[in-house]
Amino acid sequence: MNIFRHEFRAHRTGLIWWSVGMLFMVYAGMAKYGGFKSAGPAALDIFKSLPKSVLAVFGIGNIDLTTAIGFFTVLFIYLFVMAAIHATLLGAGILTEEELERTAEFLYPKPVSRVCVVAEKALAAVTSVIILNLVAAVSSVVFVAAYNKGGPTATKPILLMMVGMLLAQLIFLSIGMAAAAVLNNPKAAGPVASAYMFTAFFLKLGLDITEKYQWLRFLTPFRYYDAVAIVKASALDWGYVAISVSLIAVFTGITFYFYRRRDLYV
Amino acid sequence: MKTVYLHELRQNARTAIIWIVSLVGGTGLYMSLYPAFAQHANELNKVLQNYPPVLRKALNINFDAHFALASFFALVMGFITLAAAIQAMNLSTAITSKEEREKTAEFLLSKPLTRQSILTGKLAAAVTIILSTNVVFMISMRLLLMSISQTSLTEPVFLLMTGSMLLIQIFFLALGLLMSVSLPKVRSVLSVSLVTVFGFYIIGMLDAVLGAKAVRYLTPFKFFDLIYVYKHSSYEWQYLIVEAVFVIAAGIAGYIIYQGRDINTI
Repeated sequence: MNIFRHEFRAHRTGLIWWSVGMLFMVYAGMAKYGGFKSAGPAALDIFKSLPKSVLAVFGIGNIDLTTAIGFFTVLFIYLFVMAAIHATLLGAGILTEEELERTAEFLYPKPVSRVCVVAEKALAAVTSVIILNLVAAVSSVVFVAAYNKGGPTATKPILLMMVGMLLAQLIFLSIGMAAAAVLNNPKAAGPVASAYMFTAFFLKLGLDITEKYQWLRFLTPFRYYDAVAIVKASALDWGYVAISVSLIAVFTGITFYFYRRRDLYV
Repeated sequence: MKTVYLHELRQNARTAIIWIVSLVGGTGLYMSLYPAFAQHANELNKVLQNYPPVLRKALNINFDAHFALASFFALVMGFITLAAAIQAMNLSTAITSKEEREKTAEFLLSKPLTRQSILTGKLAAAVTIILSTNVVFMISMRLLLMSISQTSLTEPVFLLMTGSMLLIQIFFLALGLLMSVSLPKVRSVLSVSLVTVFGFYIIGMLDAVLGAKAVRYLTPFKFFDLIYVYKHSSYEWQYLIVEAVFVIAAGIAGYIIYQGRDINTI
């Protein structure tokens, strides 16, 4: 477990900053709701009848924004992107850093198998991802509850969103690690993995402003756990959970398979 | 200096082409959703005619065909400038830090060139790439808008709207330069640039905490209100001044700091 401990400690400061950012983001977002609610819902009734693309121009989806949970659905995508960036960079970084910082020659001659190195590094990354998710979950539940005076409790849909976000974080993490394992050039892993992550994000933005091309949603984990759909159904879509778990399994498999055979860049 | 310039251009050419193609392609895909939106907007306009004038004025929406095009284009530009900012930030964050990370700083700095001329060569290459990105982007957008819509934006409005991308990129170019020369060690350009760009993007959301006015001065993503540009055919000068002051200050500081930087060679 030495590698796990070393990796976790090496990424601890970064994780603390990410957590602080996450916490601040939830606080700032919900503070905005406090101001928004007092502005009065009169004009909002009109919006309910408008088509999707027009609503998108105003930056609102198909949900009542005057409730705390309705407002949180708008905030959620930002938390989601933050968590996704963290997971992608961590996944690509944790495997390539030894080669990029010329410590591969130090680490890999140690009497531990490569599989063991990758497993412990993956474990450290998963731990970080889970901690960031917990920070997001706890701060969301607390701040939404603080602004949710009189409304029905919103804890269940928030926790469901966070479970969905965790699965998506693990997808991005495993994609980052798979990119690091497959690509010959260790410098390429971060850019390739984050290019995918951003394409997925922009695809989600595009799918939000149209009713067409909905089959593309399978390509973007951001769409698997759509906040509005989760609030409406008060449940996760099991089909997407199954897709997520299989994607994580596939990319983890790719990571281990290719990293064992990797010609390390020294 | 010219050698440095040409070398940098060659080094970055492939990435630059990928960026240009993705920016233009991505915007093209988003704009392909416009015809459906125009139809909705047209229907909405008819519905709005039935609302009392007071309410129409309060909502401040008037979906004539020009405004529909401008507001949809503004929405898309909002997405695309986020990606464009990452391009600019990636370029300039790497500008000097990559020599140190890749242990080529000793090689480069022992050439018979002053540090200023090295920095100028590199900066000129980055600026060239950003300018060509914008020129290609503007030309293709002009053609695209002509092909998808009967109405079109007037020449100055179009130039100002697409020009906001250039100005945002220049802001991040300057910021990245400043970070590149002043951060003690940049382990991963991508981490620095993604976190910074998203940080600024998210600041735009924090109007409840920081104050709506303050936010507009704090993040370049809020400097250019494209609906204002559409209505007045000009930018809001106070934000242009903020941008100019920042860019000039960051540029001067960048040269001074790099001049005295202790280059990390281990």
